[in-house]
Order: sequence, then structure tokens, then C-alpha cells
Amino acid sequence: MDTLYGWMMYILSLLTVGGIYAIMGLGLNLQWGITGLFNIGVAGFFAVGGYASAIVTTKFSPNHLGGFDLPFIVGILFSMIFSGLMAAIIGKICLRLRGDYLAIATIGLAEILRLILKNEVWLTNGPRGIPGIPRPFEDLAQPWSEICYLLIILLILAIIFYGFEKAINSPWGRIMKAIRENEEAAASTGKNVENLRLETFVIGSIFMGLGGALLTHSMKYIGPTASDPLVTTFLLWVMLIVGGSGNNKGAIIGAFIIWTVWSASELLSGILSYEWINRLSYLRVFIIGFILQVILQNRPQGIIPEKN
Amino acid sequence: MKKKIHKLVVENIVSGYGDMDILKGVSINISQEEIVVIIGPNGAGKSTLMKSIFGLIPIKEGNIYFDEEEITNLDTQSIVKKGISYVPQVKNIFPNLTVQENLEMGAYLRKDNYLETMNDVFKLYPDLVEKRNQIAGQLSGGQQQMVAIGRALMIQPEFILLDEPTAGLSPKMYNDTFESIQKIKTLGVGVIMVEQNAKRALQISDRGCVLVSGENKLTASGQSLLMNENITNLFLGGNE
Amino acid sequence: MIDFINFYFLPGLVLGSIYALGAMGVSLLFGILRFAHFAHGDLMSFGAYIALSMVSIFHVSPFFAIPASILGSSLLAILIDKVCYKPFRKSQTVVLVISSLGVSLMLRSFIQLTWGVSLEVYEIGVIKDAITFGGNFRISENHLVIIIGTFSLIYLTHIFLAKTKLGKAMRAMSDDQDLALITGINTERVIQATWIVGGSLAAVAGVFLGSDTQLNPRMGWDQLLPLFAAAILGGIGRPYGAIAGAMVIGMAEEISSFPFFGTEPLLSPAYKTGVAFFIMVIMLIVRPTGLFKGRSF
Repeated sequence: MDTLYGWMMYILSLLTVGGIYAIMGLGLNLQWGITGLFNIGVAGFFAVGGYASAIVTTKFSPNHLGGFDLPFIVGILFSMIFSGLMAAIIGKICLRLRGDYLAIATIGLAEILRLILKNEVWLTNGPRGIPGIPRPFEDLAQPWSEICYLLIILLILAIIFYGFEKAINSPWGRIMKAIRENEEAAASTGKNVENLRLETFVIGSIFMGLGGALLTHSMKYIGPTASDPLVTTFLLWVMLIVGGSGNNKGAIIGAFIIWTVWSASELLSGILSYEWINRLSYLRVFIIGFILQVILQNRPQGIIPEKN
Repeated sequence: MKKKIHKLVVENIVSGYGDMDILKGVSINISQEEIVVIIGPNGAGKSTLMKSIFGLIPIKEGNIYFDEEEITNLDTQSIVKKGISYVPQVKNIFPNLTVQENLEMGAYLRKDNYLETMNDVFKLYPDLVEKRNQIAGQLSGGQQQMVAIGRALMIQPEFILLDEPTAGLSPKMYNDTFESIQKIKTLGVGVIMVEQNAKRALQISDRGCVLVSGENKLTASGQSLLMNENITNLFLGGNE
Repeated sequence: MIDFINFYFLPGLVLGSIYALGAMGVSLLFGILRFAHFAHGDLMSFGAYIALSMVSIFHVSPFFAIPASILGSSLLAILIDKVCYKPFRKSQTVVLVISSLGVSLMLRSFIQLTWGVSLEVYEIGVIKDAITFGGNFRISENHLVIIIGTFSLIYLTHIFLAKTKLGKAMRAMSDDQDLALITGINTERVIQATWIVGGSLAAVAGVFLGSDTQLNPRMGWDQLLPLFAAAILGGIGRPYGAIAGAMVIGMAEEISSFPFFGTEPLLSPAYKTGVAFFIMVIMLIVRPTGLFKGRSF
């Protein structure tokens, strides 16, 4: 019975985090899959969203900015506002750069942000991070608390999926794809390409920020060591590529599959010697990198290819 | 005894990008020490023909022979090794390399000493001698064209493909280029060239080939094409 | 003034030297393969760790282990190219960038698995005497080796690019890929040579970096931003420009913490990396082709 319960909790948390990655994956799909914006600074927006919500919703602490003690819903709103604002500023500067340059610029910004969050102790409590972040339904008994939070995530995911599907199949979505395929031709029809690209960049980043907030509330803690930003970014990209970029369903399925692979490798810890348990977290980065190579070389369109 | 005269034979080739055929059955042949000029309206497939012979565009039907040996769809490096070189219309020099380095690159596949060939090129284009250590991208358009053709001669080709070698040149350079092409022929090289100024090109050519919508309508000696009224009206009228 | 030279200018020169070795490789590779190689920093780390193994096995100075590092990083670079980049020669550049990002993480985890994650140093507790000039200028032996080593390598690379057939072909290919093919240049061989040059320079940069500070599996990744900044500043695809760019970035990073006003550092040393990035973004906005008119796209 205990094992069964353990498995259930494990699957619940798998779905919760997978769902959060799926939300971010939809954001990345909008940027890359639909519009062709090469953002590898995902972790930056993720962190801004996480910290914004953490600061807004926690009780007073002498260690960092905060004490607003606002509800969860306000927290996630703030996460979206701040990540959107940051995207607007960055986008204004960087979006005229193409391809590799945009990649370098976005990853650079993510690195700088990491430095700020680590060093500005008054704001974020530096390396020690912010604990005690409230989680909705945390007063309920398990497994109900976990289930309710999962339902929130799935609800948000469903709403975003529905909205994105509508948007992609609207005239707006077709223009975005046209820009991706041939920017000059799209511009020559009188569309303001610059603004449209900025729009998708901001919207996509808002959902990366939202994902950061949702994960932060789920773990009840955020700190610079909570996750390696590069790994977060990389995971999300692999999810999108494996699932099939350009396709919302692909983005979601890729997120669940890769997150399952990622956390399933943790289960191996039961059968490994102590020495290898420590190394497991490095081994799984290697495995994900390997999966990426296999997919890129053998099925570059992903599991669910883009519809034409 | 003189060395063997090589022949390049193009038989009924069909080629193009993707599903679209640009050449729909083109045949030409050329021997060393000949100049064959390809004329025709824009979009007739003149450049495509050059690229197809050189293995840059896949040939779907038809064959190309170098003497008796088939070289259809051979990779570019092997075609160069056979002794065919190609000068594209644009982007035909390495702009950040010196003139001499450009020529050295032309001899990249040669294992023997190429200094003599380089001297031949400098004899053909004496203007380049004093510019040999200059960056090629800083030369005038005409001099860049010399570097481009010179580079293609460095491999000591049996055949050279020239895609509009006089495009955009000043009248003086234009004449010089035509003269140099005639000299290249006397060096024992077969020249296939695409040329906008058909009249002038036909005058120096042994044969001309009229290409229209991917098919060669007519192949005849340069002189007879110049006499042909239809051709004169169609392609030669507006040009001078 | 003396303090400025000893504690800011010379370290800036040392840092600039290390960046220069990495950035030249990034720039060369960009010229030939047309993509930003995100795993370049990790090639540096790999070279540094190879030297660490040599040092611990043979008890030699890390500088004597450099040949082994060069061999290791070059072979690795060729292997990676064959397995992870060659299949994408005709793909969009972004696919190559993603692939190289993946390679970067795989390389880092390989280093973590092989050598562990703790900080390492080549020599424990050895504090060498600084060499003193004219009474006041001081430079450590390590730093002297790094600066002289870098400039020698730059010279060697220059000779290679300017005088050898393969080096010239490399520049030709960087100029115009299609024409290189038309000319009969064996482009795959040139690509291989580029990996050997880039990998070797990265290996030396890694050993220098390790001997200047310490080794950790992230060490290479942390240099990536300054390397890109230097390559972009110098004009991408222009290895000589990258050297100048690297010196500017290295100096700017060190000098940014000089107390120009009062006694506080102008910028907290924690934000050093930010300096490189700031310069790069300004450059991308004002003059995307770099100081020496490189490629842009």
C-alpha cells in the first residue's frame, strides 16, 4: 500500500512539473516554432517570474525584499508582468539581431540576470534564496493538496493551449509563420514585422515567467542553486524539438516525455552504488544531450510534425 | 607529336532546381582550342548550363562526356581534376586574399610546381604583376575579373567555363577581356562562355549556341549566326 | 599608478590573452562553418583537465602537459564534428547552434563524471616569487608564461594562416565557401584543420586559465560570453580582430573594478562578466560587423 501511495505521489509530481514545462514549452513554441525567434535565454525569464512571484507572496523577512504577503493569483500575475516587461526591453534591443546573434544575446542576458539574482542580496537573499513561499491548497491533506495543484496547472495549460491554437490558426498566426519563412516578403506586404516579432517574443516570455512562478510555488523555495539555468533552458529546447516544434500538441507531449525521462533517471538511484548516485545528475544531462542528437539526426521534425 | 585534343560533349541534359527543370534537353560539344559562345534571352538557362556541366546542379537526364569518359553528376572536385574550371559571373574571387594567393588557390589541386603557370597568367594579365600582393577585393572590377579568370587557369584546364566575363566592365576592360579570351584559346584551352553582348562574342567564337527556354534552338558557326536574320533581330539588335 | 599596472593592467592582459586564444578559434570556426560554436568553452575545460591528469600522473608543471592537452582537445573536436556537426552541414545554422549547446552540456557532464565536480588546482600551496622590474613592476612567473605563450601562439597561427597552403585555403573558404568548392579546395579537409587549430588554441587557453585560477567543470562555459563578445567585437570570422577584441574585453573586465572614484571599485567584481556582455550588446547595436568589418547576417 505504501509503495502504491509512493508511486501515486511520484506520478502526481511528475505530471505537475511536466505540465509546468509544457506551459513554458508553448511559450517557446510560439517564439521559435511559430515565429522563428532563437531564444536561449529561457532561464532568465523563468527566474524573473519565479522571483517576482516569490517576493510578492511571501511574508516579511529581514533577508530580502518582500513582506507583501499577497495571494498566489497576484503572485503569478506579477510574474507574468515582470517577465513580459523584461522581454519587451530585451526584445526592443535584441530582436533586430538574427539567428546566432539573438541566441548569444539572450543567453548573455540570462547569465547577467543570474549574477544579479545571486549578488543582490537585499532583493533575493543571494545564494541562500527565498524559502517559505506559499503553495495553494497546501493545508489540504495529501494527496489532495498535490492533486489540486496539478489541476490548477492543467487548467492553466488547457487555457493557454486553447488560446494558442486559436491564435496560430488566425490571420495573425499565418502572418507570423510567413515572417518565419520569408521575412522580406512578409514585410513587403506592409506588415510591421518588427512589432509582430516583439509581440510574440513578449507573449512567449510571459509564459516562461509564469512557468517559473508555478514551479517556485510548487517547490516552495527559490534560489540560484535550485536549478542550473542552462539545464532548464536546454531541457525546454529538447522538449520542443523532440515533441515537434511548430506544433502546440508536440510542445506539450515533448514536455511530458522528456520530463519523465529526466526524472525517471532518478529512479535509477535505487539500484546504483553510492558513488554513482552522486554522478547521476551529470549522467542524465548527458542522456538528454544524447536524445537530442538522435532526434535531430533521425527525426528533425519531432514526434508530431508541424501541420502544413 | 602534339598532345591529344580533348573533347567535351554535352548530350541532351535535363537539369534544374527541385522539381523545376530549367534545361530541357541541351546538347553542345567543344574541343580544345575552340571558343563556344552561348547566347539567349534572360532566363533561358545559360548560367544553369554552366553550373550543370560543372556538377553544381544535378543532371536528371542526359550525359556529359570528357573524351569517352562519362562525367555526368561527378562531384566538383573530380571535375576540376579532370581539367575543367569555372568562373562564376559574380563572387568569383576571394576578396580577402591577395592576388597571388587567389592564384595559388586556383592551383590547390596541383601537386607539381605551378610557378610557370602563374607566370603565364601574369603574362596574360600584366596589370596584375604589380598588384600581386594586394588584397583582391580592393582591385577594380576589371582587375578582379582578371584575377578570377587567372585563378581558373592555374589548374591548367583543358576547358574553362566563363559566365558573362565582361558584365559591368568599362569599354577598355571589355576589349581587353575579349582579347585575353582569344589568347586563352591559343594556349590550347577550350572556352565555353555565356555572353550578353552576343554580336561581339560571336565574332571571336568558333561556334555559337542559341538557348531559348532551356532548349538549344540552333547551333552553328559564329559567322553564320551573325548572318542569320532571325537571330540578329531577336538577340543582337538591341545590344549595340 | 603602479598599483593600477600591477593589479589591473597586467591581470587584464593575462585575461585578454586567455580570451584571445579562445576567441580566435570561435572566430575561425565561425568563418568556416558559419555558426557560433557554443561548446568552445568546454573544449577549453577539457584541455585543462587533460593537463590536470598529466600533472597528477607525471608530476610535471601544467605547462609541460600542454602537448597532451592539445592532442586531446583536437582529437575530441574532430570527433565531435564528425558525430554532431557534420550531419547538419546543409541545415539551418540554428540547428548547429542547438547541437553545439547540447555538446557543451554533454562535455561538461563528461568532465563531471570523469574528474568529479570539486575545485582542483594544478599545484597546491606553491607560491612562486614574482619577478620584479625596476623595483615596482611585478609580474608572477605564471603570468609571464601566459602572456609570452599567447603571443607565440598568435604568431604561429599567423604564420600558418599566411604562409601555408592549408592556412590560405582556410582563409579562402572563410571568404567564399562556394568559390572554394569550385576552385577544387577539399573543404572537408579544411574543416578538419580548422577544428585542430581551434581545438589546440582552446586547449592552451584552458591550461592557462586553470593555472591562473583553478579548475572546475564550469570553467569553460563561464568564458563563453567573453569569447563571443571578443569575436563579435573583432568582427566575426576575423581571427586577428578577435585578438584585439579579446584584449579590449579582458582589460575592460579587470579595469572595471578599479577604484576610479574614491576607494570603492567602479563595478563590483561579481559583475565582471557583465562588462563583456555590455560591450558586446553595444557593439551589436552600433556596429554589428565589429571593429574590423567582419561578417554579419
